[in-house]
Order: sequence, then C-alpha cells, then structure tokens
Amino acid sequence: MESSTTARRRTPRGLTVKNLVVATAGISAAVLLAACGGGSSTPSSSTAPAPTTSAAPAPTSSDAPAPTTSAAPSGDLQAEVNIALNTDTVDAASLDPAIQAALTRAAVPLTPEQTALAFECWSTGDCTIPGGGDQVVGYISPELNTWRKFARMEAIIQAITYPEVGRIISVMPEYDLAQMQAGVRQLSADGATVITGYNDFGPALAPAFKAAQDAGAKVSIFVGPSPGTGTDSIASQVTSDVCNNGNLMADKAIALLGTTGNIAFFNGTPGNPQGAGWNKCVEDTLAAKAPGIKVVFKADTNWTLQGAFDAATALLASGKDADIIMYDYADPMTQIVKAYDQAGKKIPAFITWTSNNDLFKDWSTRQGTDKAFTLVDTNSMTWCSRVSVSVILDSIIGGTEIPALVLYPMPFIEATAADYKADKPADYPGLTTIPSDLVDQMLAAQ
Amino acid sequence: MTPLTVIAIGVVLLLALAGLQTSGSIFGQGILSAFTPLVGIMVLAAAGQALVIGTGGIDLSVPSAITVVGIIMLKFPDGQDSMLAQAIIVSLVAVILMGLTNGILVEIFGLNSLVVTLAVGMLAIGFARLYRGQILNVSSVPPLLVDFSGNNIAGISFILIASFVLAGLATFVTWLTVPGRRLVASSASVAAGILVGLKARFYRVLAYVLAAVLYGVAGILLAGLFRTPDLTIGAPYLLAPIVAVVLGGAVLTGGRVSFVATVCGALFVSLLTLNLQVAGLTGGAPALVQGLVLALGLTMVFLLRDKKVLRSLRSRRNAGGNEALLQGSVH
Repeated sequence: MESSTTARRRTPRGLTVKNLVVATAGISAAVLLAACGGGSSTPSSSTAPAPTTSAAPAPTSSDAPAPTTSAAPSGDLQAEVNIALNTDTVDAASLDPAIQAALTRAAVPLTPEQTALAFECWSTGDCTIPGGGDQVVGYISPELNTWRKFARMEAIIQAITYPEVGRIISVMPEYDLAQMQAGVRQLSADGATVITGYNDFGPALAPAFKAAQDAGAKVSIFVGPSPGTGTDSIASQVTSDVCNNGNLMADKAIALLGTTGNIAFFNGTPGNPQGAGWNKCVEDTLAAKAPGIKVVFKADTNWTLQGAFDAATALLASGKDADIIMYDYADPMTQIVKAYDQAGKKIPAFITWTSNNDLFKDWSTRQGTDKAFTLVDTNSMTWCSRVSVSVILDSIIGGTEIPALVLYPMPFIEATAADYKADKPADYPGLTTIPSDLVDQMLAAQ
Repeated sequence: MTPLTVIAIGVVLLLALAGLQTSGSIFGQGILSAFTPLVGIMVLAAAGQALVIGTGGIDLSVPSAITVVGIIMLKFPDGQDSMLAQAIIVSLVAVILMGLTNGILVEIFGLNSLVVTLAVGMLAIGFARLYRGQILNVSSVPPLLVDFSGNNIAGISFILIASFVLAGLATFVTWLTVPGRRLVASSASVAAGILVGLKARFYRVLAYVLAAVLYGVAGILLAGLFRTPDLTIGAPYLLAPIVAVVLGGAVLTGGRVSFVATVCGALFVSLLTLNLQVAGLTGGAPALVQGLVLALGLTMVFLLRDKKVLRSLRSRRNAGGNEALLQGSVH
C-alpha cells in the first residue's frame, strides 16, 4: 500500500532523480548512437596497406611504396558490363563514357591487401588508408537492407583503387531527412572531398548537399534521382532514364500478353516522382502499341513488406484480375506472392526493377508446378555507386569534366534457374561486381 | 449513443462499402484469408496501446518493439522449429524489458511518456541492429511459425482469432477480476488509487509491461506472416494503433478503455485503408480522405463521450452573450 504522504514526499526527490536519469539517458544515447551510427565520427586507423597503384595490378608486398600516379587501370570491360547488367545483350561501347571508365577500373581484380582493406572500411565505417593521398571519400545512406550494404561496398572498392584516396568514411543515418542532413554536414566537417550516396529524399536534401559543395566537396548520387536539382547542389547524378524504363516495361508486357490484358502498378511512397515517371510512360507506350492492355489498378506501398501485402490484398479484393504486376522494387514482392498464396489465387507475372534472392527462391521453387509465375527483373544496380565515386575522383585527379547526368541502361530480363543462390541470404541483391571472396566475407560478418 | 455504438456503426458501414466495391468478394474465404491477418496484428497493437493510453500515456515504442521481435525471431532460431519456443521466450523477455523500462521511467520517475517511449524504442532498435549484425544470413523464421501465421478457419486468420481471444481475455480481466479492476482504477487516477490503498504505481507500470507483451505477440505473428521480417516491419504501427484506440472512445488523458471498442477502432482503420486502396486512390488522395474521415470520427466520439463539454460551451456562449448585453446596457 502506498500512502498519499509518501506520494507527496516523492515529488522533490523525484525531480533530482529525474535529472540524473535524463543525464544518464542522454549520455547512454550518445554512446549508443556513436556505436550504432556507423562509427563515422571516430576514425579507426587501418592497419591494412594502401592500394599501391590504381593503374597496374597492385604489388604483392604490403609495404610497397605509395603510388604517385593514378592512370586508369583497365580490365575486361565487356565482361564487367555483362556482370553489372546481368545480361550479355548490351554492348559496352554503347554505354556512357563515365560508366565505361568506372567499370573498366572495376574489372581489375583486387589484391588480397585491397580486399582486406575494403572489408575493414566496410566493417568499421571509417578507415584511414596508410600511404593514401589527401582525398577523403564520404558515403551516406540509411543502411536499411542488404542492397544498401552491397552498394556501399561497391563504392568503397572503387575508392580504394585510387591511390589518392586517404580516408573513406561511411555515415549510415536513420531513414529520416533531418538525420540525413546532419550526416551530410558531418561528412563535410570531416573533410570529405567526395560525397556519394543513395538519396532517399530527392530535392529536399539539396540544400545540405549545396552547403557541402560550398565547403569544398563534390557530390554525386546514384540510382535515386533528384529532379530539378542543379549542379551547384549535386555535381553528378548517376541514374536511369525513368521514362525509358517505363517504355521497356511496357514492351515486356506486350511480349508477355500480346494485345490484351490487365496490368497493376505498385509504387513506393505516395507521389514519388520515380513512380509517376515510369507509370506515365508505360501507359503512353501501351496506348500507342497495345491499347487492349489496360492499367486496372494502382497502389502505393511505401516500398515496405506490409505495404506490398496490403496492396496485393486490395488488388485481390478489387476483383480486377491483373495479368501482370509492375513494381520498381523487387524486395517486397515476396509479400505479393504471400498474399496471393493466402487467397489461393494464381500469381500474375511480375515485371520489376532490381532483383531479390528470396523472390528468385519463390519463383524457382514453383517452376514446373501449377503455381509457377513469370518473373522479369533487372540487375541489382549496386554497381552504380562505383560510377558515382569515379566521376568525381576522375575529375579531381584527372581533370575530366563532371557529367551532371550519367544514364545507365536497365535491361529487363526473364529470371533463370541460375538466378537463385541457395547459399545466399533472402535479401541478397543478386549478381554484383564485388569479388566473390569479399561477398563471402560480408555475408559471414554477422 | 456511445462511442462504441458510433464506431461499430462505422465498421458496419465500411464493411458494406467494401462489399459494394468488391462485389462481395471481400467476404469470400480467399480474400478474407489475405485481409484478416493484418487486422489481427492491428488489433493486438491497438489493445496494447489502449492499456498505455488508459494510464494517460502514449506509447511510441510500438514499431521498435515489433521490429526487435522480428529480428529476434529471424536470427535466434536460425530457421529451426526446435528453437521456436526459446525464440518466443527471448522475444517476450526483450519486450518485457522495454515495457518495464518505459513504465518505470514514466510512472516512477515521472518522465514524459512520449519522450521516454520514443527514446526506449530507439535504444531497443540500436541494440537489435547490433545483435542483427551487418548482414543477416538467415532466410526465414521457423516454418512452424510461418504455417501458424498463414493458417485460417473459413478464411479468418488464426492471427485475428488469437487477437480476438486476447482482447476478450483483456476485457474479462479488466472488468471481472480484482487485479484487473485495480489496474483500471490505478490507470484512471494514480492519486485516487493510492488514496484507496492500491499499489497504483505498480499497476501503472504493469500496464506498460502488458502492453509490451501484446506488441511482442503481434511482432511474433507478423514475423511468421512475412517469413523474412526486415527493419521496416514495425513502421506501420506508430500512429494507426493510437487512432484505433481513440476512435474506440478512449480519452488521451487516461481512464477506462473498452477493448471491444478498441477492436472496432482497429477494424475501422484497417477497413478504411483497404477501401481506399480498392478504390484505386493513390498519391495524396488516401491521406486526405483518411484525415477527413478520422477527424470526423474523432469529433463525433469526442462530442458523444463528453456531452458536458457541449453544455459547457453552450453555457459559456450564453454567459458571453449576457455579458455583452450587460456591456451594451452600460454604454
């Protein structure tokens, strides 16, 4: 039993304790944030050797002298393009010169020292490269999933092939505009000369990027575009032609359906410009080439598992039988499969951007059964972060002009049995230009 | 007419609308089996939130609790059915710790519930991410859990049935058992609870713990439903459960909460989302309609719940009018 007198007495004492609790909570939160925030504010010196040259294959000795030149290394470009795009139908020579340059560099095998260094940079979030130059590469993106972790590793690998790079910093804020802005400011304060990353917030992040560029950095983002943002904020955007992607999706739909059929659009966050862009171009192409194919349903999913499940349930409930579901993110599509399974309905064909191992699993385990469905997807696009890094570093080091826009093609490919990797995690993003031994290390790092 | 009646009528209307929109297919076994699991999760989350709102607090750690449980259910058992029981225990211990921390900081130290639950949620997510590691090399929660979460009876998901059972149990306990009534009394007013000899603070902390257990159960079932839960799994449960509870007639300053009305509130929120999606509304339109409907619903609930407010407003207006008349007569 608690008396009212006791309760009253607690008030002044409670205030004192409260202050202590608040102070302790604040310190704990700061410590935890420092630990969880990627450790970007606490540089950890790398004991791994610096990449010795960005041109020829690196020497085997870890104490080799630091390089003085950075002539672009060259590997088998076409082979690398085939891996990056997950198809051999695209001629490397047809690609943007910036992509060719970046993938030519990417095609050169890493030395064991570079591999170890890349893994350390990726694990710690901040590494100093012994013998490296004065360029500081900053990477920023909320680390929401494995795709993002792979994209970050691709950027790190690309950066360490430049001997002029002396430090690589990763900032992985929460999925929140204010935290992203703070992260950009942090990179700028840490002296980043190159800032790259996946921009979830479009033009809303432009002022933070502009401040960073004004402070001396150059910014390049990849995959997600920032429409209407000038080069004074973002020097370069590596992205795909959203409308052309829509046209390609429509062409695939026509190839699958012929002249008649129903299509459903699943989009990400409400009103995002990417969705609006490809939606319109699919509709325009269908109207011109196959007016019998109709778009019968549209839904927003926020690109989340539940969002996709909800949207699929609504599609099923609407009674509009979709022959194809089009989406711009493969990861949540496993929930569409789940919703159709729950409802006992036949799964329509999927045409989607990106790829996902769990979706490949769903697809492959159903082949040859009455639950089989068609899956058309693209490459993982994690390699695009390499291009972002290279366009800036090539400009700083080699004096090349920074292209404001680098467009990469996004061929849509039907899934094959080889796409499913049973030994890889569910959200493994698919074929990547990261060396396989490094991928194994990343996957083992739990 | 009570708030429960209003929200029940609202649910019936939305069901009728859904029936019209879908030509009745919403009531078919197939669609029900896809729709009802997430309704069940919403009911559980809202029931937990109702316990906290009953104390006059608001719990913003719901998404974190669900996400933490999702991570544990995926990583701890490593896809093995034999480890499922241990994983459930670990998950429940984790959320009980969260609830206990929330309860102690809010009720014993008198900190603001919004700040505390948000901070505890962030801390929990931080720990969970550290536990999860860089990349999680596990593809699925244990198959037994997947099977249970996906099962249904005549299209009604086991998850919804389980949530109704828990809500019914909560109603029984809070209305008809001594500890339950003490919990309600202590939630309604800590001072009054103490004056009548109850361990009011204990019961109020208990409300946070029980709420966390309900979030934990929701997280476990949701992990089973999605098979490979990710870090966004709890995101939809930040505000929607609060709306469901308030639509059920709860007062944000605390007091008795009806779990039946909360279930209706959860059904209302879920049906409204479904109806808007079936109607094909995208972009800003669903948010606009949802906002309008919820504002209207909450206004009605408010007016019905507290007719005194209306009377007070009326008398104040009359008093103002009389004052004006008096002032007019002076001049």
